[in-house]
Amino acid sequence: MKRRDFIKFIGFISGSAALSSCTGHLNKNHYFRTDEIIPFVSPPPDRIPPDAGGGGEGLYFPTVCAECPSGCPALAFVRDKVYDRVHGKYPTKLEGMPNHPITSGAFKEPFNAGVLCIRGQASLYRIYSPERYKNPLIKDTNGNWREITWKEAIDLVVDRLKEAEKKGLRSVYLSSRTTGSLSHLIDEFCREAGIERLPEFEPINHSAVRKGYEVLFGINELPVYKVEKSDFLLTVGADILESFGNPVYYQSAFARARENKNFKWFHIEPHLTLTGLNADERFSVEPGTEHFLLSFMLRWIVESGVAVREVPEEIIQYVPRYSLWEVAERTGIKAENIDRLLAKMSRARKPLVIVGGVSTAHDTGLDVAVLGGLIQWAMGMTDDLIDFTYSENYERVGNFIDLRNFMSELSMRKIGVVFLSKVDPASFEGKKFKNLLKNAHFVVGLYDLPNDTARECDLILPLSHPIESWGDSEPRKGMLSVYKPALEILIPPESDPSNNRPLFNTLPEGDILITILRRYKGKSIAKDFKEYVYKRIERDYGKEVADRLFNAGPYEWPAFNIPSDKLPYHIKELPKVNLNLRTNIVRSLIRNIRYENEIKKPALVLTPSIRWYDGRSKSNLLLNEIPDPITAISYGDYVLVPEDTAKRFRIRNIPNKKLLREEVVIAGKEVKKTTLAHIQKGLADGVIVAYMGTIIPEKFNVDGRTGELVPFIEVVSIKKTGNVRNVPILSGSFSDHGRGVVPIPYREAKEEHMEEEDMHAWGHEAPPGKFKYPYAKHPFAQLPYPDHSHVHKTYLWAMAVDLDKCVGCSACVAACYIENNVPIAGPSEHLKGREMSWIRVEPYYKENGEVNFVLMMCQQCENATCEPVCPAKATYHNDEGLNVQVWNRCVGTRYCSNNCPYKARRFNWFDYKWESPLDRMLNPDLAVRGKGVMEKCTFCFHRIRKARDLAKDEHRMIKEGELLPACAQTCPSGAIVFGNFLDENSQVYKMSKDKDSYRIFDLLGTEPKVYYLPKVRRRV
Amino acid sequence: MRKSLGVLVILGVVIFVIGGALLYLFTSLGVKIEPLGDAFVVYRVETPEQPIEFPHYKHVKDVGLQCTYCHAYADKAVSPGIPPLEVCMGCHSVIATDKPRIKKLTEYWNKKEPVPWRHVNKLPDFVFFTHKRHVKAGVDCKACHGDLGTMTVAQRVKPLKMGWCLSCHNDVKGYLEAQGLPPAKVDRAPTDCWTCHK
Repeated sequence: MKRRDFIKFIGFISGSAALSSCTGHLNKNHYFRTDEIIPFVSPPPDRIPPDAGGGGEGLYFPTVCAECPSGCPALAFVRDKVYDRVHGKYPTKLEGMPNHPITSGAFKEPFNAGVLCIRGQASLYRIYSPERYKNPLIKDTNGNWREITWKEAIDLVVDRLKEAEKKGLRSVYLSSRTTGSLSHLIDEFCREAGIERLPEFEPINHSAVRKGYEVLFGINELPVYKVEKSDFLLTVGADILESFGNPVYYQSAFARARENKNFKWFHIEPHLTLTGLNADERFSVEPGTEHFLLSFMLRWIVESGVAVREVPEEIIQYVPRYSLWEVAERTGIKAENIDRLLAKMSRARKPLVIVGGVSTAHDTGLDVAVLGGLIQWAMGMTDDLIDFTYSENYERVGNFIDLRNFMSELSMRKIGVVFLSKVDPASFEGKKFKNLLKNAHFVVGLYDLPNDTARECDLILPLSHPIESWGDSEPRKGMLSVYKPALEILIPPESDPSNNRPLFNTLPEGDILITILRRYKGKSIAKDFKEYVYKRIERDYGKEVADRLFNAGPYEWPAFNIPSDKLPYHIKELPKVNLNLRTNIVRSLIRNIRYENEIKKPALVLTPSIRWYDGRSKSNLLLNEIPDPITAISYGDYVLVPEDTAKRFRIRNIPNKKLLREEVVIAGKEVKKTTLAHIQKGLADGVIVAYMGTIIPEKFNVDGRTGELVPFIEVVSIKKTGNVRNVPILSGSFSDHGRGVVPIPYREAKEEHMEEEDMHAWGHEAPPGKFKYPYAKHPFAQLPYPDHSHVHKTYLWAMAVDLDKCVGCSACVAACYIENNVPIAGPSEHLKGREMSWIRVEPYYKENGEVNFVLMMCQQCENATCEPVCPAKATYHNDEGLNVQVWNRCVGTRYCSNNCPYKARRFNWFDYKWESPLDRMLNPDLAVRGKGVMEKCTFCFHRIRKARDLAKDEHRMIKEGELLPACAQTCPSGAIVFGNFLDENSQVYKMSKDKDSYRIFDLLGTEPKVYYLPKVRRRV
Repeated sequence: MRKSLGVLVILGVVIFVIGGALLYLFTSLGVKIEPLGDAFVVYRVETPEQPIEFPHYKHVKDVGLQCTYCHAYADKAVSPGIPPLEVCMGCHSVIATDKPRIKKLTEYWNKKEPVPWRHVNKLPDFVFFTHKRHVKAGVDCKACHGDLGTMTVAQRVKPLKMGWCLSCHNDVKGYLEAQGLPPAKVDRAPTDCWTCHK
């Protein structure tokens, strides 16, 4: 062969190899279109329009979120998909219930949607988790699990119940928080079967706050605090954005309150939470000294005449007279700050104080709750701002004393059959609880996913998720919502609903109980749980309501603006709860307050986190993939160590090694744990923070009066092991290095009397002809790219992010992952900087520990830097101002990503795989990108397409409020606004013209289409 | 002169034979060549083997059913939908029950098993195609599906390639006229990548 021929030959081979490798571009593991089209045998009643993998149609079914005990009503967007030649209804996205008092968010007219938090959005990863229990399991004598049939399982339970009855042992039922018909059914089941129902177990049970109100008014209930109506908010320990009451509601309420520019929020806490970081001012208090502050406040409001009600003298006489300086010294809060706080509170028209969380979870917790409640009562907050009528429905929830009582009964071997339903006490009481469970005659676990407690059971009855079943919930008193199966496998003939199956061989809790009772006592309370729910609602709410709720839904896309008489919830008229102060009881409690502090430092504080709640969501894949907003760390366990303490124990973040963290051993009487130390700004000296679920101490203290878990654990030493490990920190830097990512807002600049020149430098009222930013004189200020602005005729899609309302909760990130089939990259990829999120929350810390969260996604630049460098023209600008990325045109040069100043583009290094059945949640509206393809935020172009389709049917343009990207739809703060920039009445246009609005790296001349409004800290 | 004429004749014969052979090969494989603007599009007519050889001509031409009688969602949704077995049995529980194909269908029905039809006009995963918009714009079904009234088993007779789609999107009127089909309500259709790429 001649040389020339050889080269030709090689050229042909390599060329054809390259060509053949270009055919893919999509993820080969997850094609939507198959070679077969499977028809229905006979179509089901709620038929979803056919899809055949083309994307498009779906219906919203009412459901409920079960990721945390709040039980937010939700809508599941359900698609018709075929697996193994069998049709199924598969939810691909969850949204909050529109117009519902809890989940209606903080949208402004005409926008209207339902919102969910990060955990709610990520709960699809729980529903489709491959780890789920798929069949009833029995543990054999070797401790191995064996699958059995439902009949065998139920027979076994009945046998064991009979045995226990014969032996005279008492059987018990321990569940997590339940509401609505399920709660009624468990009551009825226990009554009929002679089983004792224990108070419900929730680690975060707010029992101190409830006990406090019981002392004050005789109502053991967690009220709803109407933050949106207040203009001054003081939260003492109550982490309203993470775990206090219903975080979705509180976040929206906070955002609504922020509409009032004079709203001011102080937060006082011993440790550091996302809630604290979002307050206007956050003061660190010495752990366990909150009662000093509150008693001072109480006396102050009484004596200064701020109080609208007269606190009885017999109570106030026992409130000690501390001076401001004494209180400042004991609490560690500067006197001037307390003074300022009180002055602001006295001037506010609608002040609100919320006490709770970690501040009520210690030996003086009840005192703190009662003092807080007295202040609320005296200031008149209980009249309109604190709602006991439609309260949080926590009456049935017990506390840790109830759990410990149960444990002591277990140790006396008096317990027969134990039913454990979705509870996990073992992750708090640890080995002790596990060992004690062995003393029970038989332990039946009703679980959907394995956890520490489930593994100790003798029999597992796998539960269907609420999304797979009929049921109802009452997240607040009098607020009833009905949910129906949204996830079902339709066994032909599909027209008969009784053929429908859940994802696995599971049953809803209600059906299990009805079956057991029928077999055990021969008593049939209902045919199935659906009938039971219907009868219960008919009884409690009337037939009309029951019929309406059972026939409500499904709804068509986009499920906004559903008339309220068609929505699947009902709010009952309840008589207003009247509060009467129980003077005698309060007096004796106030008299006996010990003004001491028994919490020693350094202390480890276990705190709920936005991602994992009390630790139960730690097994959720997506909630590990998304970084914690405070630290930007995704995977792994670590503790937050304050700067001063770190200095004392010689712990440091390795200089120049951004990801390396030192390994430490945290040791005390009750805890010994090797973990990584992340040094955290803004944390008070001597307080080490660990998230619940990362550390289980050997022993927890429980407050004897309220039964709250004391999350403070004494630490004796923090020793370095000498090891260092990499942690995946997904933030490029914790500082914006003065580049104007978080500019000083106009209002703050004015308050701080900045020089006129500086204000101009930060972009405020820049004189004409001058550049907006100090760096704008840079030679690259004008990019050599063509101007696109002339082509937009009908739409110019733009987004505005109000960072003043954004709290960094990351719900948008989770929503984006689910909506856009963004893969889970995993820890090893994160360490290489290969994360896949299209939208991210970046924390930027100031020197004083304050943090500004910035949402970063593709900025859809008008003069995009990614476009001219693409050799394949896979990315270009379209008529509607979108920066288009065509997946199957991309050849993976990654030039665009290198050229993007926002780091908004993500590269697929692999054909990522959604392990079955996780793949069933994939959204057929957009393809799953394969190896070698660049992807990025699209402003949810498939939703724009759907909105356009609806608009075209009516021969009109897309209206404002008709269209929301996934991130904006789920934002409880309503911080993300989306719309047509060419419409001068649109909210996004108006926000872009705000005095404070800015664009990130505007100086580069990229003309981004995401406008930001900065966070304004109200300091006065 | 004579010699060169002879060469030409032989060359002509050779070209004719080779061309004829190629044409025969192409047609037997179902390969078609169609003009597309200044160029050509080469594609293959595909006839997937179906579990039941469903004769479209019988239903469309002989019986005179509307497309939407079976494909009920064609003007309502992205996907036109394949009729449920119930719809087939609506007629075939009484009509032509003795025919072998109907017997096969009845077997599926009795077993309550769906017929696993093969996808004929299948598009790649990255393409979004909505029937609703095309039908509402007045595009005749034949423009993309060919004349099903003449087909025994459904065939893919159009290229369904991007260039072919664009040839109509750029000039709807021209394309439909060339096909001898009635004009649509629009003359142009969107050509932005994100209209169809998903």
